[in-house]
Amino acid sequence: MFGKCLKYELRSYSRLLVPTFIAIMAVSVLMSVAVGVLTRLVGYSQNELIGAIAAILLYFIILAVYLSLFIIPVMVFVLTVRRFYTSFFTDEGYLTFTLPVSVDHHLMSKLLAAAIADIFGVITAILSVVIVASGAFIANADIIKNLIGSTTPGMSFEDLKMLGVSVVTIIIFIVTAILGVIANYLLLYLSISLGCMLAKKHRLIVCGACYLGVNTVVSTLSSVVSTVIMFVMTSAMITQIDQVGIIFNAMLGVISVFLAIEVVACYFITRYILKNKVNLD
Amino acid sequence: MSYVLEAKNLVKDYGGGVGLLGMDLELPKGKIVGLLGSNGSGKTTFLKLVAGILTPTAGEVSVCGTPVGELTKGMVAYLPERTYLNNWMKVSEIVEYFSDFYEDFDAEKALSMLADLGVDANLKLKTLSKGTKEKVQLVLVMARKAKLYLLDEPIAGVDPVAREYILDTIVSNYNKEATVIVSTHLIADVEPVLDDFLFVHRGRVLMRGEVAEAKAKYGKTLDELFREVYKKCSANV
Repeated sequence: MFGKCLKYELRSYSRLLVPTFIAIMAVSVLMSVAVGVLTRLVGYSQNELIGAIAAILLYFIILAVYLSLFIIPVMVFVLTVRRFYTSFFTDEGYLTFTLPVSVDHHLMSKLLAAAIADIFGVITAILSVVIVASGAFIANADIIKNLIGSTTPGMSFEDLKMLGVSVVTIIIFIVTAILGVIANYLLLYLSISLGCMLAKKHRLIVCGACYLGVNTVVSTLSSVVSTVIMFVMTSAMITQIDQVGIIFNAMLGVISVFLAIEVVACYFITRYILKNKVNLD
Repeated sequence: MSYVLEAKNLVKDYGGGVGLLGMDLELPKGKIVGLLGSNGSGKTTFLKLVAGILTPTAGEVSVCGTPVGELTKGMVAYLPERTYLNNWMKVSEIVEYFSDFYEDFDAEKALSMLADLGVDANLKLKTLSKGTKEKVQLVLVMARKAKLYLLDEPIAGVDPVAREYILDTIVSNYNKEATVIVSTHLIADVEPVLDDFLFVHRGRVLMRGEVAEAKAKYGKTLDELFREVYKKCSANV
C-alpha cells in the first residue's frame, strides 16, 4: 500500500510542479540568450548609454533568476502543507481514513513525496542557473578562457584533509542535512495535526500558532544544546590543527542526534493523533 | 452465530452534545437494514464509528469479529454524506484509484454503472454537479464486494430517477454474505427494500425488528410506525 500511496502523492505534486518546471526552463533559455547579448553589450558597446541600459537590464535578469530559485521550494512547502491538511482534516479525510492503509504508510509516503519534490526543486534551481549562466559563458568564451588560465584554484580536498575533515565528515554532513529536511516536514505535520485536534473553527490559524509554538520549543532546546556544545568546545584545548575536524564531526554528530530525536518525537506524536484523535465533522 | 457488525456499549461524546449513548447492536449477514431516525438522532455518528472516521469515547465496535481499524476498512464500503472526491481527478482516474486500493473493487462494474447513470467517465470531477458526484460516490461504493456497506443518506440529494436506480442497485447487489445499512430519514422511500429496521433517537436504539413482522404486528407502514414511536418518545421527554 505504501507504493500506491506514494504514486498518488507524487501525481498530486507533479500536477503543479511539472508545468512550473517546464515554464522555468523555458524562461531560463530566454534569459540565457538575453544574458549572452547583454553581457556582450556591457563589455563591448561603444555607446555608454546602451552599455548602461544593458547593465541595468542584466541586473534585473539576475534578480529575476535569483527570485525564480525560490518558486519551486515555496510551491513544495505550500503543497506539502495543503496535501497533509486536505488529506486528513477536510472532507477528503473521509476517503483517506476509509482506505485500508496504515497511518504509517500514509505518513511515510507523504514524507517521501515531499522530499522527492524538494530534490526536484533543487535540481530545477541548479538547471535554471546553469542554463542562464551558459548564455554568458558562450557569449564571452574568449574572456572566460583567459580567466580560467590565470585563476588559482580554491581550497582543495587535500587542504580540508589537513584540517581533519574526512569522508566521515561528509557522510555525517549529508545525514544531518537529510534529517534536517525530514524534521522540518514532520514539524509541519505535527503542528497541523495538533491544530486540527485542538480547534473546530479557524483551524489554519490555530495550526499556524501551533507551528510557532512547537518551533519555539524546538529552537529553544536546540539553542541550549548548541550553547552546551560550544562551551565544551571552547573549554577543550585545541593544540593541533587536525583537531578542528574532530570537533566539527562531534558537533555535526550531536546535531544529528538532536534532529533524530526531533524526527522520532514528531513522527510518533503525529501518528498517535492521526490514529486516535481524529474526529471528522 | 457470527455477526457482520457488533457494537457493545458504544458511546460518542462530542463534548457539547452526545452523539451516541451506549449503543448495543449485533447485525447478522445477508440483510438490508434501515437505520432510521430524525436529524441529529445519531445515525451518522454510528456509521462514522463503524467506518473508523470517529474514535469512540467508550465501548467497542467490530466488523466480522475484528475491531474497527486498518483491517476492517478493507471489508467496509462506506458512503458518507460528504463529497470526498479529489476534484482534480477524472471520473476514470478515481475508478483506477479505488481499483488500486480496494482488492474487492470491480472496475468494470463501476464503469458499467456509471454509464447506466449517464456519467461520462472522461469528465473531471470538478466539472460535475453535486448530485452527479454523489452518484459517482455511490457507484464506487456499490462496485465493491464488501462484507458491510454503510450508506449514509444515499438518496437524499439525487433526482427521483437516480433514486430508483440506487434502490435497485442496493437490492441487486444483495448477497447472503454481506449486510447493507441504509441510514435515512426518508423512510417511505427505502421501506420497500429493507429486511430489518432500527429506529434511532437521541443516540439510542428505540426499536428494532423485521420490517414484514412489524408491519403485520402493528398494521402500519414503517413510516407511520416511526412517526408514532417518535411522537411518543418526544412527548415523554
